[in-house]
Amino acid sequence: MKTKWLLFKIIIAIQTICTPLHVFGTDWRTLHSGQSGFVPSQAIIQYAGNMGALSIGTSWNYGKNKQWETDLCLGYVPKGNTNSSKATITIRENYVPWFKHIGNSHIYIEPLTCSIFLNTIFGDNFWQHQPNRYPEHYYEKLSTKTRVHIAFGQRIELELAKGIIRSIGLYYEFNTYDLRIRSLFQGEGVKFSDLWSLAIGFRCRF
Amino acid sequence: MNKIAYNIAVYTCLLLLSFLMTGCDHVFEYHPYDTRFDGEDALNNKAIDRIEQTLANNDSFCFAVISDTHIGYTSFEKAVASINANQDIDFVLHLGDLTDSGITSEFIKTRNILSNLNAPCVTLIGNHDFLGTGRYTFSAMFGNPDDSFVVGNTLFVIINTNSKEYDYAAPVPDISFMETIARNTQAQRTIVCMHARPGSDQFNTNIEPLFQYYVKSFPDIMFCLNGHDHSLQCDDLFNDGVIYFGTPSITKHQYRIFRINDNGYENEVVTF
Repeated sequence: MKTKWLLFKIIIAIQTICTPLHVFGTDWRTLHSGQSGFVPSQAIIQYAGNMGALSIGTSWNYGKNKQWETDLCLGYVPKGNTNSSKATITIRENYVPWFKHIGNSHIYIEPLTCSIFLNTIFGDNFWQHQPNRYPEHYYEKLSTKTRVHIAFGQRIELELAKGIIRSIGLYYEFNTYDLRIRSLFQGEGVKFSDLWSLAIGFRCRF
Repeated sequence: MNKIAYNIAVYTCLLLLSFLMTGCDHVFEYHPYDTRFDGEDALNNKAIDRIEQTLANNDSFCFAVISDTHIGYTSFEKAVASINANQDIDFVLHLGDLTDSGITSEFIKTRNILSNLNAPCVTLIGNHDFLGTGRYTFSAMFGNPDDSFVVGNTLFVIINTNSKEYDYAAPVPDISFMETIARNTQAQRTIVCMHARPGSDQFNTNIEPLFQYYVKSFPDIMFCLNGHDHSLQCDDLFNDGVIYFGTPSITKHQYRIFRINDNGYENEVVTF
């Protein structure tokens, strides 16, 4: 509970800083110019978020205003109560509708990020389709290997004047996934608010 | 630019995200199949200690049997309330399928509901609880899939019969475990508990007669208990006088109560 309240206060603080609104920028091209083709435009480190305890990855910006991003991340799940740790791969599609500079500073806020991502985990315990030993529809429409997630979050970034790294930023996102959404409809007594868990991360733009 | 529209957008996002934040139980999650969890573990050992202490030298006792709670948390909570309202019940057996997909959050949800029981509860592993890393989470949170305990002069044998989950490549059900228990017990009568009974899609068909042979090798076998089939069952499966009592899934709003005394047992189906 304490952690939740602390985070809630941080969001309120960011939002309050953001309140004196002067400029509403949509010209992402100035922010992300210089990238083209297959050269990644961002690097990411993320903690938690149902894609590993720690994930590292790269990201590509594209679209007319460079508001679309594709992240490719490699995650590490510690072994916990099992015999071995596990690796996961995530492909995540983000849409970032707005950004805004705070006053005349180099700090800007992205008040909403919307994401959908696929995560796949490696290991003997996981299968994409139920193995042949089961009769048809035994574990109906279940893959223990791949999960589909949706996520919503916010970011704060600092533009740097010079150098290869153009900006550094922090973000958080709440995510949920297919099994949880399904449990909302399938099982009785699962609340919408039970579905979500948090990730925090760091990203820098080149 | 359009300042008002931006304000509205920002505050809508704030409201949405803060709403999500105040809801979530576990702030950070590494993976749905990450087996770490906070809070109580080894629950079967703790429950068995409580049962063996409170019912030592007590040959008359009463227990409730629930099963397959994986797709009905509301029904499950109602069952717990119903069991708590009955002062006669000394302990509870859960015959498996605590989760639907074996993900850790489902185990935690089930554990939280079970913790509301006044009586101690011993839990079996069901086939759904094997999915992904479920079997590891089960072992850490509850205990060994094969176990046994003694109440008064009655031996309870808990035996993992989910052979299909091992692709029939492991000794499940573990006959040598049954043989060891049968050889070493001082108890005078026996109740055998399992998730999937012989003849079900999980059970290794090949060893059904052998399994029954060892079931009958236990001292004065009273009856067997099973879940898995989601229906109320009462069958003499091998025509040898050993009754298999099937407990329906919790969404059928039924559980069983057994009253054990010196002369034998009475069974009752409670509808809640």
